[in-house]
Amino acid sequence: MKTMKLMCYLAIAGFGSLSAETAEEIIAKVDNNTVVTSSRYSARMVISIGGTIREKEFNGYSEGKELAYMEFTAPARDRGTRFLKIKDELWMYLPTVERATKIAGHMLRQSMMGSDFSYDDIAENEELVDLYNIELLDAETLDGRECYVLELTAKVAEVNYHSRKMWVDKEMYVAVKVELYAKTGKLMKEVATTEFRRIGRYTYPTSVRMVNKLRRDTYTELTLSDVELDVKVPDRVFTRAYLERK
Amino acid sequence: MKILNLAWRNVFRHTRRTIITAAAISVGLASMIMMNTMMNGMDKMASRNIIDYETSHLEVFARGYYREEGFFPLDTIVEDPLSLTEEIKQIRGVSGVAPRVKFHASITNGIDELPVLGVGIDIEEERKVFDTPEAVVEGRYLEQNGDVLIGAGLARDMDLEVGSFLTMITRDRNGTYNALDLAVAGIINSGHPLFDRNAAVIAIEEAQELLAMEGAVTELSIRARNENDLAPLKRELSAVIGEEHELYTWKELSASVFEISGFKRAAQFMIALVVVIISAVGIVNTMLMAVMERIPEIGTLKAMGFRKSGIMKMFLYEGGIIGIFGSLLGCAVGILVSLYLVYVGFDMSGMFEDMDIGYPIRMVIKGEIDPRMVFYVFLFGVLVSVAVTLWPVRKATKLEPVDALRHV
Repeated sequence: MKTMKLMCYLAIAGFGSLSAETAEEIIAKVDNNTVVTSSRYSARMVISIGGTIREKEFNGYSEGKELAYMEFTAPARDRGTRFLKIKDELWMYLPTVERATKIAGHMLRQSMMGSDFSYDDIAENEELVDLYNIELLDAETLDGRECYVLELTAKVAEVNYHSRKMWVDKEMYVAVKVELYAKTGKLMKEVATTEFRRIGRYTYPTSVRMVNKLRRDTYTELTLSDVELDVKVPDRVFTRAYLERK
Repeated sequence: MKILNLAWRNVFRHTRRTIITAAAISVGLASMIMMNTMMNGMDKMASRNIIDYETSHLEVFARGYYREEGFFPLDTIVEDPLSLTEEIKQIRGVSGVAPRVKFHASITNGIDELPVLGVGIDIEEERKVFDTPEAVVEGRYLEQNGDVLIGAGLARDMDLEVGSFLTMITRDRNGTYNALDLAVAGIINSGHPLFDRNAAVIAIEEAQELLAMEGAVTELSIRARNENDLAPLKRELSAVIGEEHELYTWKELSASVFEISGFKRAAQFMIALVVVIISAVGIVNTMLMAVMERIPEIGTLKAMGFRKSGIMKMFLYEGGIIGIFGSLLGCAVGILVSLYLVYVGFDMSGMFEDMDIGYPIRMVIKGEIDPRMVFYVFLFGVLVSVAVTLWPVRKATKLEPVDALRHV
């Protein structure tokens, strides 16, 4: 999950340099440091819709950019719901159905487990520098942090969001805030990193808040705990057989 | 002739018995006709809705586009609709061609988000091929970019009215998110659930922009001058559209709808069959009684030199006469009820308020009488009456005249 791009927006670079950097360099630092070799974590998702709060918990594993697995543990209704990402494919397993289904096409646009994240958001895995032309707009202070303000505009056709605006912390190289825009220029989503921690050689975002700007009064907060990075995850986790196990 | 005369008199000697038997036949037949009228009406309505709102008479897609109903890929599309449209318009049997872009999307009013079928239409050409403009029950038809028509069901579910704003969310041909603010220009109530429940109709230019289609469309809908015989037109069109496109008639595109209807017809037939069996048992019963009552009479006839076959003929004539009366009565009642269904209709709106019956019909169903069916039903009634007379009569004619005369 971590390596999925939902974390990418929040990615980080260890040591900031004070010298002038190009926009590409800044994003490359964010990009490069996003990718952890592997990860293991527990997560808690707080979904708020119109003031009603629902909480969900899941455990996740990832390996490189291409493999990820998550399994919901709470609430009881969602227990046993699993997701597996292998390269570009996303599979979902519902215990009641007892079979994995592939999430593809227009279904990817839909909300993941009722949250503000879409399946697309969790499955995204390309590096930003490969997808976007990047322009450094400004420097701004956001929540007491010195930030670069960057604008990313798609240079290839196959991207989820046509443009993004990112506020990157000058010292930590963490995307403190990201705005995601549709091609029409309409703001669709806003992601903010509310907490990050030093874990090994990474400064890792451990709490993010996603707001679907097309709807009123909704947000999803995702908080990670027990994060272990660069640890070995057994290969069998990332298989259909493991996904469909009883 | 003499025998027929005798049979005729016999029938009217027992007026009450004749009436009861005839009534038993007529109830069965009337209900068969009524059900048939209803089914025909539903099928006709479904066909009209599909032709007038969904497919028109024929549709052209890029080859490989049409794999299953309800699946709208954006990777197999008609890249150059303009020149193709021109070529199709040259054909004499074509009265109109309208391009459409169909796509998966969702709309949100800021609170709820619901999946919809996005339909991009050519505002002008649409009029020549579809009845969409006439289906607008509130507000107005599309006039400009930024307008959207939504189905009445969708409007109700999302609390939208004319003038409300909504955001349409979709992914373009490359998978990039796109969102568009639209104002509800009109509300559609066509009678076709596809449109009334979950469609959002916008101008085709806007849909193409939204989906990065670069002038391409998903389909061209063709209206024929003569809708009763599409086969020659289909052949003519097939020659024009070229290898990279495929062509289907509305019937082929809605095969599954009529498959459902086939099942319904089978079910209807079974019900009718049960009704007929019940009335046939009634007829057997009365005929049996009639024959039993008249065994001494049969004995007298035999004693007077009547042949077995003559007696048999007489009873069969009687059965036939009663059958004709019963069938006439049944057909008359059936047609009367059917006429009510044709002109007034049967209101099912209460029954299906929130139910999607998967069948494109309006909630007031109007019947459609099939004269051929009425004729068959009539014939059926007469034949059954004659056939069920056979058995009791054969039994009676086997008796010796002496035994028959002594029979009480």
